[in-house]
Amino acid sequence: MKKMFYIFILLCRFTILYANESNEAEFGKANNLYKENHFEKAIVSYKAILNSGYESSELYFNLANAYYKSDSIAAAILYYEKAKKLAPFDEDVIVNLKIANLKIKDKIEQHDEFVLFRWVNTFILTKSADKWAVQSIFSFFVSCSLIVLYMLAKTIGRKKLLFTLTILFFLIAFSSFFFASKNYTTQQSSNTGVLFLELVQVNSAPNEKATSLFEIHLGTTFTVLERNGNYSRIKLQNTNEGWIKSSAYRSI
Amino acid sequence: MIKDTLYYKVKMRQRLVLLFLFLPFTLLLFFNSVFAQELTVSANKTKLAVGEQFQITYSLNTSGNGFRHPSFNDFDLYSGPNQSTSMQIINGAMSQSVSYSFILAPRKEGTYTIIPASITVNGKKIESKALTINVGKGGSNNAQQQQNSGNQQKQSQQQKAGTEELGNNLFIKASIDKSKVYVGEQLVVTYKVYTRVSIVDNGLTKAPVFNGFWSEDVFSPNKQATLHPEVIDGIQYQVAEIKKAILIPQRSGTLDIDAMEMDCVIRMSVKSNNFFDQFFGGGYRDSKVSIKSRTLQIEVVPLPEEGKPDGFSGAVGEFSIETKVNKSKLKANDGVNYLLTLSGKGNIKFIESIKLDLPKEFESFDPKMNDKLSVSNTGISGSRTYDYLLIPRVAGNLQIPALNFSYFDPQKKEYITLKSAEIPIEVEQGEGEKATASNNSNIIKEDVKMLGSDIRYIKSKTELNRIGLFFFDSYLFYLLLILPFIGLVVFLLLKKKLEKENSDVVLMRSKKATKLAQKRLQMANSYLVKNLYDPFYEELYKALYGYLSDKLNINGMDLSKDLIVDNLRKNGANENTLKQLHEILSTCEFARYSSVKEVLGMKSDYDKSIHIISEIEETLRS
Repeated sequence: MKKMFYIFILLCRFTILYANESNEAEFGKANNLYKENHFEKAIVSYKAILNSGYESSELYFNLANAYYKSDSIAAAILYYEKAKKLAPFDEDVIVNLKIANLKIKDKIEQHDEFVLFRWVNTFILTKSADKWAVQSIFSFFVSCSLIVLYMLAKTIGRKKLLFTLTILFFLIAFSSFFFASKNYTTQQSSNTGVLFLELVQVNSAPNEKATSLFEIHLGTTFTVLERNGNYSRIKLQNTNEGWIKSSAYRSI
Repeated sequence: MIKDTLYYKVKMRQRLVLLFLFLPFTLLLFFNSVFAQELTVSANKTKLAVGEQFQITYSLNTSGNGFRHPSFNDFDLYSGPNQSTSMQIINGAMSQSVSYSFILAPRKEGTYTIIPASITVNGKKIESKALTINVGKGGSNNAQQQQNSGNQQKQSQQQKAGTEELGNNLFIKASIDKSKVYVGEQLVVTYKVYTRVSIVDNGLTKAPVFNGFWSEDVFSPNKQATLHPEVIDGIQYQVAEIKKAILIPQRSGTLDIDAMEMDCVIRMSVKSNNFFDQFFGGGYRDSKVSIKSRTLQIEVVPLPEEGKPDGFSGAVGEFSIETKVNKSKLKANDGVNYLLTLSGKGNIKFIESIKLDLPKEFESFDPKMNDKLSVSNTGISGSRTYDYLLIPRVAGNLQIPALNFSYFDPQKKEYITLKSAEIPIEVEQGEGEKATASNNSNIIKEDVKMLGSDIRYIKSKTELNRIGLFFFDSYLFYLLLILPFIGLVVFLLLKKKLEKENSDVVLMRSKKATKLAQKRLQMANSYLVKNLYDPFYEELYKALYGYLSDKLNINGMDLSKDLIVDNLRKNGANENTLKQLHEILSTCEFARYSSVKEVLGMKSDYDKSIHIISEIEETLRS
């Protein structure tokens, strides 16, 4: 049954792939430019693919590499983060993001999450939203089938077993749906920003005259909490909060 | 003074008489011997002050006669001619010399030429050279005067000696043992004071600074100098070494060796008219004089680049090396001391630490250095010991490899490389690493060397997706998610309907069963009336079986006596009724298949059956 779902998904993908041939060629061309150290030209080429409405973690990764090589650290971090969003466990992405972060001025200590939350978050990220969705459908299907079998079952022992399995698969289906929706929201929302200005003073209120709380430098990553006019309320990884102009950063 | 002159004249005449008595003998004896004859003239000083005594000597390396000396008109003749002869026999050859000396003192200042003297040797008249004497003013620049021995105040102007005239009597001479050296080659510089006057006191005013050199004093000037005689150009001096140092040039080029300056207080006797002064040794005068040596220059050449061995440590001189270890058997991870001793003559202090080229099995630490050096007249010599601590990390028979040490020999003008012996070391397994070392004792793992850090390379393959296209978000997803639920609901509805229908059939059958049984029983009754044996039992059998089959919802095929009894028992039927049912069913089966026809029991069997059916009807209803 599960296979059937994947085949279905693949069929959906196939149509997309078919429309994508020119972009694949563009990707190869950009890679060659990168190989010959024409990083600026490679950036233009990678961006052309993005502008045509297609993305992949590899595309973001290569684009970030090209930005890194042409010394645009903020852009490099932005696109590494984008790549990481699509492929949270890709080692190359993690390593390169780490190297890029070494080049920025701000060294912000990571605020440690509660261990259990971290585990859960990591677990949720092991599958993409779509994969969780497929698993959710599959589990729900199994769960419903088990209900049918339960009803048809005649001995009490069989009924007990089927009942347990039904509950189990129903829970799997429910949590998968929940995880899928969580990943989906993360993918859709852009609540993380990368600073694109050399130096920005973070104010206590969304106006110019407000007290400056602290300074952040080019390439720093932060969470965007809310927007108010031209200003955004940001939160650093070390839990410091403040307001900066929305034009100073770009969302991942 | 006239008395003195007269006295001398008389004395001289007597000597001359004696001389002339012996002369013919000497001439006869050495008649045949012919020498390169020369009459030389010398004065102990040619620059002097008015009234200062000096000596003129005419000497002849053979014998001669008829010596005629010039008249010293401008000088006071204090003594002379004083003749002395000497005879030497060297390896059987005899040589003879004769000299005539005069002690004179100039009367006035000026430059005087003393005309040559002559003598006849073997009938040939030979002449000496002329001699020029400079007579300066009497010394008046005495800075310091000291009076001693009584209360003599008067100074005879004529007796004063100037420092200028001291030049030849007191000076410092610097000397080096080499005029051209290599960088790093040691040389000896010596400062000597030459004097013909007595020095009461001396003090160094400027000690030499050896720029461009590293220096080590053999002895320093504050040490009490010992005097020894030395003759320069026939003039005897008292000589004292005041400083001797070993120099090691640190750079190439022409380097200056600094002059040494010194103040001396010299003591000169003065003639005194005071009788008592004369009696007690005469008066004297102390004066302070500054003397200075010449600045010497030395050419320092760099070490030749040609043939310079790798790892040349800058050693110049003559060396030998020796290596040893303090133990030749030890456990892994224990330390062993590897001692390298360099000994010889040269710039040991300037040798850089020697790098050991050790195999990876050894860990080594920077060496401790221990110098034993001595400075002598000929230079610095001694030894330097490098103490390396080595720690073998693995067990086995290891070798401390041979060590090459190169130095430059300035005498031979070439580089010389010495090679030490290899030293075998037996290493036993250490305490903690037996387990690991036994498996791969010969493999030493090295960490991967990080050459640089760079980002990882781009990816060559990708699968592009539409931005923002999610299966999760699609209608398809929700459709697929709802589908099983819909299926389940449909199933439940179907099941419910089916069950309802099913239960209707059973009810119908059950309801029909009684009617059917009644019908069959009526038929059986009609056969009973007609007294038809076979059809009666046939119908009775059908009535009972049909009724039970419908009532218990069991298919006629599966129906058997035991199954019926079991089913009814479960439904709580009377045991007595069951017994009767069993009996009547058996009677029916018996009657159907038997040829014996028992007509009498038909009526009671009919009544029994009706009773059983009504009983069962009651049981199942409750």
